[in-house]
Amino acid sequence: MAEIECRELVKRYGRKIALNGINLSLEHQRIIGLAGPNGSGKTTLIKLIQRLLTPTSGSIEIEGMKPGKETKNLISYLPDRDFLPDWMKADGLLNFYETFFEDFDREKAERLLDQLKIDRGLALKKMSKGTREKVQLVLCMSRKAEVYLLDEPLAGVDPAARDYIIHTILDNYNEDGMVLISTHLISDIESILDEVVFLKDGQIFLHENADDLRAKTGKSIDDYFREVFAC
Amino acid sequence: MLSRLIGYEMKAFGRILLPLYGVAIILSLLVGIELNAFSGSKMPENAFGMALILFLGLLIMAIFIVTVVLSVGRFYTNLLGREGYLMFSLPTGTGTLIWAKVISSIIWSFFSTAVAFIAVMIPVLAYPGTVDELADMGRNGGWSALMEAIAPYRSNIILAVLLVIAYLAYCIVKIYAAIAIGQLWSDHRIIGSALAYIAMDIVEAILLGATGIAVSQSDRWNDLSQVMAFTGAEVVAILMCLAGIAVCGFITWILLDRKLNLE
Repeated sequence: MAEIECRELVKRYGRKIALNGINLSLEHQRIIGLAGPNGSGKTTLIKLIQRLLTPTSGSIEIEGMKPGKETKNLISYLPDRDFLPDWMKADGLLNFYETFFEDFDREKAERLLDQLKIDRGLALKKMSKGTREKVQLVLCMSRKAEVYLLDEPLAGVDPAARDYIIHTILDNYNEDGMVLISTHLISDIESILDEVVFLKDGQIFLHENADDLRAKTGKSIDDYFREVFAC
Repeated sequence: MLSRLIGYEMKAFGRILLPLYGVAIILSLLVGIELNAFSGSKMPENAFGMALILFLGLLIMAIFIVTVVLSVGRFYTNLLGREGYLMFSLPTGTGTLIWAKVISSIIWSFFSTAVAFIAVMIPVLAYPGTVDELADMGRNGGWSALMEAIAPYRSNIILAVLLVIAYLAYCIVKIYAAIAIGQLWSDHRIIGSALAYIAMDIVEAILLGATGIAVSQSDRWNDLSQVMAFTGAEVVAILMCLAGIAVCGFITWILLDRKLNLE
C-alpha cells in the first residue's frame, strides 16, 4: 500500500485552478522533492494532504485512510510560514508538542535546541526570524512520524542555515517513513533526494527516481528543472 | 484531548486576564481603604476617592470587553489565522477544537463575573458600618428570614443560572458560526463574518417573532400562560438556547470540518 495516494485531485480557488487532476503515488522510505515554480500548486497539494484545505474533487489516502484525525497522528507538518503561538516560550512549545503528539521525542528536541544554543525560556516573539524557523523545524523533526510534510523549509534562509536544516532533516527523520519536501531550491537538496515530482500549472509534469532522471537527461536535477521552467 | 485543549486555552486567556484581575482586586482594596479612611469627607476633599471608584468601574468594564474580545479573537486567530496550521494539525476532531473554545470562553466569562463581583463587594464591605449591619442582621435572624423568603424560588434561581450559561454559550457559538461562514470567502473574511452574523440575527428574529405570534394566537394561549409560570418560561428559554447552540454548532462544525479554507 502506498503511503500517500492522490487520485484525480482537483482544487479550485474560485475560478482559478490550483491543482488539476493530480494522480500521484508516494511510497515509504523515500525522500521526495516536490518541485515547481511559484504558483505551481506545491503548497496546495501539501495542505490537501494535511487536510487544511478540502479538495474540489478527487481523493487522497494516507496509508489507506482519508485525511483526518487518524492521519494527523502519522504526519509531521512544517508549514511555509510562522505557525506557532508567538507568546509561548520554547519550553512551553515542547510541553505542547509532548501533550498533543504521542510520537514526540522531547529529549531529542531539547538536545537539538541546546545544540543551537536557543534559550528555552525565551518567548518565540523575542527570537529572530531564523531562530523561530529553527525551533519550528526542531519540533517537526523531533516526531517519529510516518510522513514528514515540509513546505519550503529552505525558503528565505541563508546558506549556512540551509545546511543546518538539511542536516537536521537527514539526521532526525524516521527512516521507515517518508519525507516530502517542497522547494524551488533544488540544488540545495538534490543530493538527498530519492525521487522528484515536478509540478507545472497544477499538473504533474514528471515523477521519477532521482538517479534515473539524471541518467535519462544527462543533467543534474537542478539543471533539468531550470531548463523545464525557464521563463 | 478536550481537557488538554481546554488547559491550553486557559493559559492563553490567563496570560491576559489574570493581570487584569489582579489590578482590579488591588484597585478595589484601595477604594475600600480610601472609603474607610475618608468616609466623612465630601466631594472636593474626596476627589481622589471618586477617581479611584471611576477607574475601578472602567477596569471592570474593560475586563468584560477583553473577555469577549478574547473569546471571539482566539477562535479567529487560533483556528483560522496562521496558528490554525498548528491547531488543525493536532490529532483531534474539529468538534473537539470548537468545544474547547466554547467551554474555556464560558469558564473565563464566569471568572470575570466573579472578579467583578468581588471587586465591587470589597469596597461595599469596607464602608464603615456595613459589616456591623450585616452582623446585626445575622444576630436578629435576618439571614434565616432572607433564606426562608427565597426558598420557594430556589429552583428559579438554579434555572436562571443555567439559562445564563446556556445563553452565553449560544451567543459564543453564534459568533463562531458567523466566523466559520466568513472564512468561506477568500478575501474580506471579517466583512463576510459580520454579514453572516447580521443574517443569522435576522433569521433568529423572524423565527422568534413567528413563534411568538403562533403561541399568542393559539386557542390554548390562556391555558398556556397559566401553565407557563416563571419556571416554565425559564425551561423553554433554556431549550431555545440549546436548540440555537445545536444549529450554530452544527454550522460551525460542518464548515470547519468539510469546507476548511486555510489559505
